[in-house]
Amino acid sequence: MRIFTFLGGVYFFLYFVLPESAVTAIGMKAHHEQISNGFIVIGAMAVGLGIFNIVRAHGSRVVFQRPGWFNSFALLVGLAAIISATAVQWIESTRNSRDISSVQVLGEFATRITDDARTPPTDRVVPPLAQRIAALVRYGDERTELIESHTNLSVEAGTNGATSVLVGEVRERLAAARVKLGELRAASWERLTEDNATLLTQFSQDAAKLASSYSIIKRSHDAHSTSQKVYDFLFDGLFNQLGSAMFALLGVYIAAAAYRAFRVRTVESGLMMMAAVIVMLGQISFGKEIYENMPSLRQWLLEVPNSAAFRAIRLGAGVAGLMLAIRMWLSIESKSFSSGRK
Amino acid sequence: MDSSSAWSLASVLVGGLATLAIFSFLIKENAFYRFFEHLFIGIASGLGPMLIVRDFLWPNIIEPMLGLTVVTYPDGTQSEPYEPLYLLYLIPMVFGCLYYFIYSQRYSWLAKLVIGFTLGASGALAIRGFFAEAGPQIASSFKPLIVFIDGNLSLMESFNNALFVATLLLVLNYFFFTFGKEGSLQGKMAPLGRPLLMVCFGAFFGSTVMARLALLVERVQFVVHDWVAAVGSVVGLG
Repeated sequence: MRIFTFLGGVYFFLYFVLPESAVTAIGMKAHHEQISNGFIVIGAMAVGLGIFNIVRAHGSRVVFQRPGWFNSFALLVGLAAIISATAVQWIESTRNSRDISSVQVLGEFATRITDDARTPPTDRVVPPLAQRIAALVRYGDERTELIESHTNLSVEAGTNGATSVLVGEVRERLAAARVKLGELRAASWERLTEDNATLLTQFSQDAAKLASSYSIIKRSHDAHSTSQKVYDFLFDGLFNQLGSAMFALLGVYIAAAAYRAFRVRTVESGLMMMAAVIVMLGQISFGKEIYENMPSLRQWLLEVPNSAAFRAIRLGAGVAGLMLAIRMWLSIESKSFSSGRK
Repeated sequence: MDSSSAWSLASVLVGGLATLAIFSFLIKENAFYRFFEHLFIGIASGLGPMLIVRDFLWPNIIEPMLGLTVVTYPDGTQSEPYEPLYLLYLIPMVFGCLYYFIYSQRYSWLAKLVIGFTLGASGALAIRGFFAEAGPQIASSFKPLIVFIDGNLSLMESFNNALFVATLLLVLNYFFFTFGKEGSLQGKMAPLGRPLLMVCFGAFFGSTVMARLALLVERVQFVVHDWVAAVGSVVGLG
């Protein structure tokens, strides 16, 4: 157990203490992101634990109709609704992203053909130029048809002013790409001449422009999909509203608690109250009516004494955190929690 | 009414109802509040894991592991060769799955391995985090006590810097309990940190209250303007 805890921290500790040249030499720097992701994956695999525990605790309350079962039912409905809505919206947006990238591939492929023809790759085998161009043209025809049908669908679904401009732009770029596809089809591709290379470059640029306009239309179309609306309803209509209300509720309780608990009996509590009043008044326009420099005074209070005292608190807490981290990593802290020691 | 407007209207109606339900707690705890509180917990606890899967696991781990980031061109060639090293992610994935043995009485020791490993990694990260955070802060705390701007002595800046350094040292000294409090200069200086700390706490309190009140004002505005208007449009008054 302890050896596992120690091993868990060795990588990050070494990455921190070793000089950069050593980290680069042993390949840690090059793969740091992937290795860090590997560590995060370990924790991320535990996501199911939370859901499982919630379902187990509240599910049993619903099934056996224990007190508060209706609230547990509401919790489970909320859980199931957000999981399904996020999953469906994610699947749809992934599908659309693939659709958009399939159009972006057109331009990338044309550029790749030019690059490979100019500097033949040594690490992989590529088909002859004419064969690649034939594949590009065939794929281009398929994609342009797809874009046209999707654009027509968007028009049928209803357009506003901004979308009409976009649809017009896509159709214009679609026509330009088709002209270029025709020229690619007609040209001779025994070898890459300067004219052919220019044609491919132009097609690549046109295809990139087409993909960019198409992605805007596609994303604006997706923003109005039912899955997105359900997700927005749950996220903006419920989650955000409830979260804001909860925090706002705490504001009332903080003010009420302060009214009950604070008594300005000593110089120190007077200082605290004065600082609080200055910060609050300095943030509202009424404060400026009382004293013209109230916002500047608030700013000074936050930037000089408050910032310095807070920094001291953080440094103190940081040192304590450092000690705790070292004890945790070296498993010294585990003794406090072991069953043998009460 | 088109479907977008209907969804927006439903969002405002339910949002207003949810806000009123949470505020009903100010009168006393009630069933209406508890219902929406549980709904909030349900949504929050479902959203977190989904975001981990959608925004981290899928794009950073699963997609590269399955080779979905490699683009296959129309002629069958690929944008880049598949990197089989990504399959190494299976090791932490399988190791992370040991968490689920926590439910087994017989094999719960397996879950302890992964918990210990994660604790160790968090500890080492915290060590690094402390130096990354505290280092620049300590360096920037060494402010010049006499400041010249364009060749002239700036009394205000000098005073601010001196006050900053003095506050920092006095508050740090206040929290220093390790040795030498009694009768020493350090011990005598310790009470000076208290009033400065109180100023800091007061400023914190003021900022917190203002942040919460800003949210309260936003909620009240939402209910009074948006929600009332939405209810009016539904019952035919708007």
